[in-house]
Amino acid sequence: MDNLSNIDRFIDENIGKPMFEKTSGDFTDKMIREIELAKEFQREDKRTFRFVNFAIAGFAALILTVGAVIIWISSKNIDEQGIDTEGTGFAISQFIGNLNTKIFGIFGVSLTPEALLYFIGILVFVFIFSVADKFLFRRSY
Amino acid sequence: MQDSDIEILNRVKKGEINLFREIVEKYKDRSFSLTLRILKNRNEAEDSLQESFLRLYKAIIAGGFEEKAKFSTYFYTIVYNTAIEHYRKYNSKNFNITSIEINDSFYKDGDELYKNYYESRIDEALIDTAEHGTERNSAIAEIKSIIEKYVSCVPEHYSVILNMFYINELSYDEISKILKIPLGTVKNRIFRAKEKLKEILLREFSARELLEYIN
Repeated sequence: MDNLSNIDRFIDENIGKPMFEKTSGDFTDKMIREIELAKEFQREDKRTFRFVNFAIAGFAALILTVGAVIIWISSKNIDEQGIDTEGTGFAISQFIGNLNTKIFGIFGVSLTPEALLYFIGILVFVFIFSVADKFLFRRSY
Repeated sequence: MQDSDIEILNRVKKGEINLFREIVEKYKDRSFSLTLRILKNRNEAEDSLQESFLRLYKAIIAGGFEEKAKFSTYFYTIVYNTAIEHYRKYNSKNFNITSIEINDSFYKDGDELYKNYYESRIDEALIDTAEHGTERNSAIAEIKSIIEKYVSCVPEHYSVILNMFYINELSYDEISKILKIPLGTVKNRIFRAKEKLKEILLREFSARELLEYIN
């Protein structure tokens, strides 16, 4: 019985030895280079993410401004029907409205309340996705 | 050991990347052994291991590792999962840690451990005993060679567990959690693998001889 337990101990001590394998000599150096590269990419990603956030925020502000201007112009048109529409305020709002319409025209977008709704929808979707990407889809092991 | 790892990881998180070298140095060979057991190709195994370390680094930075967990278990889970992903990328069949191959069901309980071993025994006859000089030395060389051959022939659903137990120094419970198999299966595989090796050795040598050589 004791003899067999000696053999068991010998097996325990030796069965693992042939399994031990070594990586190539430059593995650690390669690994650290990879890590540094990954860190650099992370930094770049952060910068890009910040830029994209600013771009989205800017675009959202533009859309909202245009929306507000359109609503204001429409309400003014209804309220001031029959009244002088040649005033400075109206001219400015007309100018902003036209300018925005032209800007959107460059991108092939016609500025209607429906289009505005679609834009707002897309922005909400982008916002939700970026939040979800950050908190929900973050990989964990 | 766990505390020093945690301390290093905390400092890595704060930006001391160079300290990550210590983690790589400490775990690279033991985890490479595990990866190689699954992928059976040194280049693929190194690629997979590199990715594992990268994932670990990113997880540390993102705060994915909680200090409550045991670091080695956490890390070997990454190593195992990454190797399995690599295996699936390059192999059409799935890596199956839970069941033995269908053909192996013809064998008696645990006999699949013998199958490849005896098929490769022909090479064994080539063991050079001349250079070992004494009878005892040549016997020791043969015992080592038998163990080596046995370990290299053991099917992967045994070898991965043996590697985790003996090389990665994981407990039965940790292995069971990483591989998502019952605790009993883990214990049974390790016990069976050892028993079969003992049987093989006792076929080659008498218990008295064996004890004389190993003591």
